[in-house]
Amino acid sequence: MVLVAESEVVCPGDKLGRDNEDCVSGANTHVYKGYVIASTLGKLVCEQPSKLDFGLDPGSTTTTTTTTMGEASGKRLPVVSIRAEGSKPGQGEESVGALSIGDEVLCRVKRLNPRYASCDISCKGNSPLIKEFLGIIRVQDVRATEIDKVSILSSFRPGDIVRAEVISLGESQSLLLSTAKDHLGVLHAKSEQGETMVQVSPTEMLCPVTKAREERKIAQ
Amino acid sequence: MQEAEAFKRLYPEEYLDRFLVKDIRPDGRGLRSTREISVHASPLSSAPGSAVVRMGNTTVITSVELGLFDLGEESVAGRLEHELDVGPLGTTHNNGSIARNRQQTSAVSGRVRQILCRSIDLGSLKLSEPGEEASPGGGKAWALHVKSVCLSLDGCLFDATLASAVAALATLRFPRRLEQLGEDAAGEDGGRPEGDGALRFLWVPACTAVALHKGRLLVDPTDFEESLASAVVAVVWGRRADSPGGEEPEVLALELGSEGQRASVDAQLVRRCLGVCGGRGTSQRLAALASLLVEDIDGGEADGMMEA
Amino acid sequence: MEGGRGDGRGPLECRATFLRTGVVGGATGSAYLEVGRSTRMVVSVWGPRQRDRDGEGSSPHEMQLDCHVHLPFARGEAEEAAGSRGTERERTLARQLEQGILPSIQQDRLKKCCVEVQCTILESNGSDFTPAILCTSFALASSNIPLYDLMTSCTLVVVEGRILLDPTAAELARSEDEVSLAYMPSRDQVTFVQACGDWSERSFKECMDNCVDGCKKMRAVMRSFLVELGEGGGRPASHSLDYFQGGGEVCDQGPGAGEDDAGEKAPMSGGDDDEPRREGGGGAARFEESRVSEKLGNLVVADQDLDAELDTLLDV
Repeated sequence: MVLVAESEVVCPGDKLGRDNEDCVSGANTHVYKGYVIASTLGKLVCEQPSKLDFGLDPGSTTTTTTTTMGEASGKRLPVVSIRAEGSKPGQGEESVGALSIGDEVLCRVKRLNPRYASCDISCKGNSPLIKEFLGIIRVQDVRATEIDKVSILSSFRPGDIVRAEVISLGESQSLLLSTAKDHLGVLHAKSEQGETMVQVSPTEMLCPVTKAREERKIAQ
Repeated sequence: MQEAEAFKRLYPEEYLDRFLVKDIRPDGRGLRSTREISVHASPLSSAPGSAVVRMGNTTVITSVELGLFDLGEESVAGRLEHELDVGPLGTTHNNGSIARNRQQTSAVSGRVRQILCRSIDLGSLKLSEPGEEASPGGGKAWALHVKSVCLSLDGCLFDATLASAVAALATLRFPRRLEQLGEDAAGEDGGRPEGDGALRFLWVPACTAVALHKGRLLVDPTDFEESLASAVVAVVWGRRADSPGGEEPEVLALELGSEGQRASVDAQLVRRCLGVCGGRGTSQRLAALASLLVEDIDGGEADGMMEA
Repeated sequence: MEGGRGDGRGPLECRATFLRTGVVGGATGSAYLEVGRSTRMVVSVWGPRQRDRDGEGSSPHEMQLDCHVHLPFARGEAEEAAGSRGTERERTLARQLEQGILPSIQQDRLKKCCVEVQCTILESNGSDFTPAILCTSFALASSNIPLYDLMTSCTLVVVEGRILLDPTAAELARSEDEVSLAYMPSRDQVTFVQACGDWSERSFKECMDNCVDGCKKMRAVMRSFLVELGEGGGRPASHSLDYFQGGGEVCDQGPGAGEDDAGEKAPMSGGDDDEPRREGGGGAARFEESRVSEKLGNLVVADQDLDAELDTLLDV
């Protein structure tokens, strides 16, 4: 049995149950000496995993397989996690602003270099970070196709808002970002005259005032 | 909520503009309303005078220490020094070079000191000696070391620092007569000079800042609004300490500042600012500080502590 | 020496501690601590944010804990020329604080990040280290930074052969031996020990055990405040100074005697004809404001939605 009732407030360091006997460790919890322990302050959330969580098709094969697995490991264990005060149920595990590989971020391009674009990462997902992180989009990470023919100047300009994905924590100060996927790239750009540009083709944006076209790697 | 925060971070100007166009500010205030001020007297039991002032999310705590010094032949007045420490804000606010921050901090501190020196009667700091005739020079007087620490900042550092310093000085109690000092000369550590003399105020000052943004005036700007403003006008209003209240406050000082951006601040704009910020918010601040003066405070109990 | 201590405590009794969070607006987490009404401090936690440049020989992927201690009102130190990192006492305490707190933070979840701790000691009567650890741990817990446990701390002195927990400054000055430690109760791990004295007559183990017991008591105290916070409370239970109340609701010295909150609204609307109807100040107006801010907080980013929301909102 899980040691703490659902929706009860727990503090860091509180024991929640025995690992793999009472419950399984979920978001904002960690395992120490066989016990699942809370990592942050918040309310306990206890979820029963559904059948589909085993990643197999629903159907008779599932029933047989899960019964087999169920027999092997005993009953299905609830997943305990901690929901911090003020965070919504759908919010990811990292309610804290640390970036990790695979996170999608919103950043603003600061400087360009023939080999990379340097950005200030402002938001993780849709939630702003406490302070901007530094990120780099290398020329080979701008898009997925024809990566040796990419020109940074025709992909980004300083001041653009870009959605990117973190691919590495990097060796030096900056994180490595990528805009290779279709839904990543420039979200919002201003022309040299300062007007918001609109997209007219998969790779071009138009300034509504001067009718000048500029190339960008645009998010689809 | 999160999306609005992201929008605010990525497009700060547009975010602010959308509110201003409807005559409202991001925190729900009207363009001319000031934030609530809360003043708490004597939170530190070990200091002769102290106060905490909170304006919205800006919190400044000030403590006043006493030191004795010998007066020269001609002078009859005590001294006042001010120091401001923004260290507790961390690098989030103290971005950029340390030298520039120190310069800004000492500028604010210098202005506070100027206003304070004009507002109090430094002559009331002179210690009277027994049997002393009306010989003006010589003797001892108190030097006030006023130290302000900013614990959190959301715009209007000068306003909060000034209010906090004024409140701390209002709660200051010190011995008036030389013979009250006793064996333990004041200024040595361990001995806090006890007394019932209070500082005499000439004026009660309070400052209200007005930020200028694209032709609109925002009274008592937050940090976000200050960062987008093209200029900030800080007006120090004062009410005479001995007036019964109800009189119009007067302008003691005015300061214009613009961070890096050029803004043409002409006389007409200044007049508009004066018109806008002398309203109820300022009167509330003045009243809050003035009430500290008239309260009869006996040392240490002023904070209204409830027994445990 | 007579049976009791100056304030009537037993020898193994700690002073009443009060903890409160949310005192520094804008910080990721913050806490205000009061011990026995003569020790007061504020700790604010900022982060996680990007690491600072100076690696100082450590791996650039590690988490960095940046502790700063401020003793702005300390006496007798005003004359000492403070370096950019503070006086000697501040620097020492910052190092001790870092060493004591770091083991409780889950560093592998915060790679390449820096957590900044700003500790401002307003008044201190007794050990500086113990309340700093307690306050910092409370601030970290309230900031949702992943922790292994709450860090607790306790100081013990031996005065005239008697063991005393949680000494005041006077007792510290008179002590012969002194032990301070930082302890994680749920893991039963001591992360920091500082001891000075002569342990030939008294058993060091006995002192450590007493100290650890004191720490366990402190955890129960901290936990009770945290649970209150987690339940959305955070109203102080009791006995302490309310000067870090949120939103300026208390101590509002108002426009003078004779006017109460309800009456405030009427005189305010006169004389300020151009003011929009949502005014600051006064009970009813304040309530409306918070409702407005809450609604504004639910705005959606998309342009047209934003406009529509604002329109419906201002029809209120």
